[in-house]
Amino acid sequence: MGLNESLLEKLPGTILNMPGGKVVISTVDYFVNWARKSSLWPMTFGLACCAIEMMGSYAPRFDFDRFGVIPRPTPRQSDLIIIAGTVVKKMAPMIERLYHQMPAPRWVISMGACANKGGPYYDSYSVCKGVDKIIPVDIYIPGCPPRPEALQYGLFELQKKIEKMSIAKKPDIPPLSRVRD
Amino acid sequence: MNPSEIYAVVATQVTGVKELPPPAVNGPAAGHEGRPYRDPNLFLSCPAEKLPALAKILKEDAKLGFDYLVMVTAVDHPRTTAAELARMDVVYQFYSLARRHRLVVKVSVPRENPEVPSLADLWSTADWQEREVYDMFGIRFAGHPDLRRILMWDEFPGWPLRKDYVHVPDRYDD
Repeated sequence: MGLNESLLEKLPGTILNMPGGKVVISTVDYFVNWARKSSLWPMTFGLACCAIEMMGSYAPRFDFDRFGVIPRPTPRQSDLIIIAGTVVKKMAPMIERLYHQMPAPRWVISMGACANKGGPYYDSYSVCKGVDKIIPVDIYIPGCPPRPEALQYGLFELQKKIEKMSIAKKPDIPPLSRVRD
Repeated sequence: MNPSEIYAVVATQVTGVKELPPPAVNGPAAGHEGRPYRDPNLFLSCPAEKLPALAKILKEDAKLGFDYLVMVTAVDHPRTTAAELARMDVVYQFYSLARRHRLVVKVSVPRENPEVPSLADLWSTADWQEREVYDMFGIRFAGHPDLRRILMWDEFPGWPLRKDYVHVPDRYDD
């Protein structure tokens, strides 16, 4: 059997029996999205303590490899950037540049209170009040820091979002929350 | 050496150095069980112009031998009593690894145009520590080899740890 049964059950399409095997007929969208969501390669971007939870998620206990999540050291090979930690204003231009170096389609997970909204450093002079001030965020994960289960849930939510994409139209880019230039 | 012995050695060689008494028991710095919380070390106040002479003795005097500059930091005192002027204190903590004694030196500078001689030529630790004090308080260190901001970026406006610092919101703020 070439494809596993559970995959075929959920498949929006038909399966035709042919001599020597089966032929699957489905939409291009389904297969493209299936490929995209099953091989999300995140750009390694640990900024603070959230990075420890992110590393724990990649490690054998939570084993993100089984979802096709393989951390990459370069934006050129990444589909996803997980902003794990406090974004300081000095680092913000580098994050912006790295995001724009990633090939589209690309997604952003904002992990933890700091990356979402500045967290406990909201009143600081040096901390960016949310990474959505500089790059469009698809998934926000609350927590300080979020446990690996939370990151895992956020990843599944991102996969659901990717399933709704179509190659016939441009992907929806979430808006920035920037209030001044 | 105990604090009074250290003071005796310093006072005979440098003029203008005063011992700082512990804060009042019931004053604002009162600590645990009404006792002022302060380590039992010698605390000295030194005028800025005497600091190089004092530092040279601390390092080179055979009895003192302060070979380790633990830290350099600063404290902003904008609100003071009528008798006191608004000031900033640069705080140095010295330690002798050989003799195991400790010393705190405070140098008061005015809040406008503050400047202190650099100790980077005597203790290399002072290089980056003084840069951090400059970065946060805007206190300049005369004779420092490379006095630039160390934590904040070069274009950052103002001195963030001064009490009168007003934050100007930028594109990364709400």
